[in-house]
Amino acid sequence: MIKNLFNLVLNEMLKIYKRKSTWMMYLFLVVFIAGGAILAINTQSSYSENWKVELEEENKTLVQEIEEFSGMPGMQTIRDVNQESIMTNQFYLENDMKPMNYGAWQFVLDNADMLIIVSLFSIIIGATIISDEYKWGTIKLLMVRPYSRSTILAVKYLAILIFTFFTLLFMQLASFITGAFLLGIEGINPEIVAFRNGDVGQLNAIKMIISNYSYNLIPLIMMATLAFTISTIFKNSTIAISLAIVLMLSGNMIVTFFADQSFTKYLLFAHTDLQQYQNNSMLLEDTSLSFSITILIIYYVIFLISSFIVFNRKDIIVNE
Amino acid sequence: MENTILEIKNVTKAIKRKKILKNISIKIPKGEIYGLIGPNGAGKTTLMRMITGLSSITSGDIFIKEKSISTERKRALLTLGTIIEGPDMYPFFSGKENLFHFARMYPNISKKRIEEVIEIVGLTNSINKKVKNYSLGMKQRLGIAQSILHNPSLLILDEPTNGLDPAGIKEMRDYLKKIALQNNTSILISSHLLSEMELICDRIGIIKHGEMVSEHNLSEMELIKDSSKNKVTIEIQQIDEAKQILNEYNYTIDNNLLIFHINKEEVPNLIHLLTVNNVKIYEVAYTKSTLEERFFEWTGGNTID
Repeated sequence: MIKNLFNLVLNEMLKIYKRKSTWMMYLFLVVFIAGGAILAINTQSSYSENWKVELEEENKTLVQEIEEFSGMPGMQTIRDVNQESIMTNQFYLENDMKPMNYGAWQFVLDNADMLIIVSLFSIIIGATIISDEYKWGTIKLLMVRPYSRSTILAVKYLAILIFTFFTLLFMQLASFITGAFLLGIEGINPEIVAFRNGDVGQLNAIKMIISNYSYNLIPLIMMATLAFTISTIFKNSTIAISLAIVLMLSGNMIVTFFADQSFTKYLLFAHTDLQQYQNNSMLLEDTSLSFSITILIIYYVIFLISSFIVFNRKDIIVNE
Repeated sequence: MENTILEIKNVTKAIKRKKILKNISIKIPKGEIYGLIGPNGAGKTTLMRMITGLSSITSGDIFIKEKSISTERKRALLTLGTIIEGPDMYPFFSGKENLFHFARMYPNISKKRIEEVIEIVGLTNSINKKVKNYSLGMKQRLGIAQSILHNPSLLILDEPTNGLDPAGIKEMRDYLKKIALQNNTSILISSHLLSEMELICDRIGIIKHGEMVSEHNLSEMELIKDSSKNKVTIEIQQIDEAKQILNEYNYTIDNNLLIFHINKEEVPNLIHLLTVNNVKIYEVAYTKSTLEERFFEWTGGNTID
């Protein structure tokens, strides 16, 4: 039984990785990462023996910028970022620590923000894994095998998760290797000074990488699942991909826009970023971590159950 | 009952209250090749889709080796092979990769068996090519290959000769006959090529407007016994004289041809009668009626497609 399931998953993985389009995604990812590393070489500051003076000067510039931007509502984020940098620099000065140069670990950590690209790929795979079988007409041949429809669908969903995991791993590895070549490695598992919970502290690099990526994984999985559900119900990958991407990009905006409405706290996007509780930067006031997790689970279960119900009930018809 | 491989029991299919199939019942014993004939849109493919579990059954049930496709789906499908609505395959996989893909979905199909099947369908030379470069005929062969991988007791083949050249059709026919005979595989086959069906099927069922019009046995014996269906054509010059002699016979006249529907055994007497009365016979032709002609009789002269 386990061997059979392994075979089914293997089939799905082969169908994903035997196609050129999948490798184009990975190529795109590599180009993007390399671009990011080159950008980092040019923008990240490195410090000389005179680092204390350099930090003081940097802080002065940052304060100036904040003053310039004050009163401009669109520049709030820049002011926040600058504030964080000032506090981080302060931390180095107070503890008499020379700031580490920007290296591979830091680069991997920062690339957690690039998970949006992995999201995009997972959405595409999630939206096409069923509809492609219809497109090729192979869905018929798949469904006349001695497995329940639910098993076939569950294996396909599992394949999306495995693909996401592989792609994530690939991205981290590619980031680390590119970072190591272009930026250098600062130790095996260095402590990184970073801004967390409204405060600055020293944290273990690997721990931070795992935590940052895990938080970013939640919206990623939710959107890939949504794409999978829409495509299973409507057998249409275009609708599924566009809807998932639009929702992913506009989610925060929708929540902010309707922030004063009572229904807003039941919207999925008010809860996909759990890091808001760690950083004390909540989108809405009357939510909590446990409330958010509950809402996430409810949405997730609804997505999956509706795709299974529809898939089990429909006649398998190609060329409709 | 033990001998019945496929039993279709009072099956009805309705889509949005419109009945696509009405009360169809068919029993196919071990090793029989059964042909499903009917005009396009008659419901042949729908019936096959229900047998293979792709479409739900509105009422009635279908049993494969006594396992219901609705309630014991997995066990019913374990022993079924099919090509339905064309031989669609994964275009980015090679022929071999496609076969391995489907083989992985059954317990214990050996590499040796896969090689054997490739040999059987005659794809040895192109099995490593990607399927997107295959011709329709090659895809059809690959379709057959994936359907027989697991040595099923029942094959459901929807228009399997589509896209094959005449040599390919003959090969496929010979192979299907062989597995029906040697492995006792039961085969349900649909086609609009009546001449094809005649050469391969033991029995045929005619479907029209979702209803089973009639079932017919096509074995040699049956055709000979059923004398009225065989045609004897005699060419003569003296039509008027012949008319006077042949009072006792039913026949039609077409220029100088007399057309009879009689038993082979009666032919010598008929010739004798004509010759003793000095009617000169130029040619006598005896033709078994083809399935096509009989199909028109059975369905009331309508066209097939």
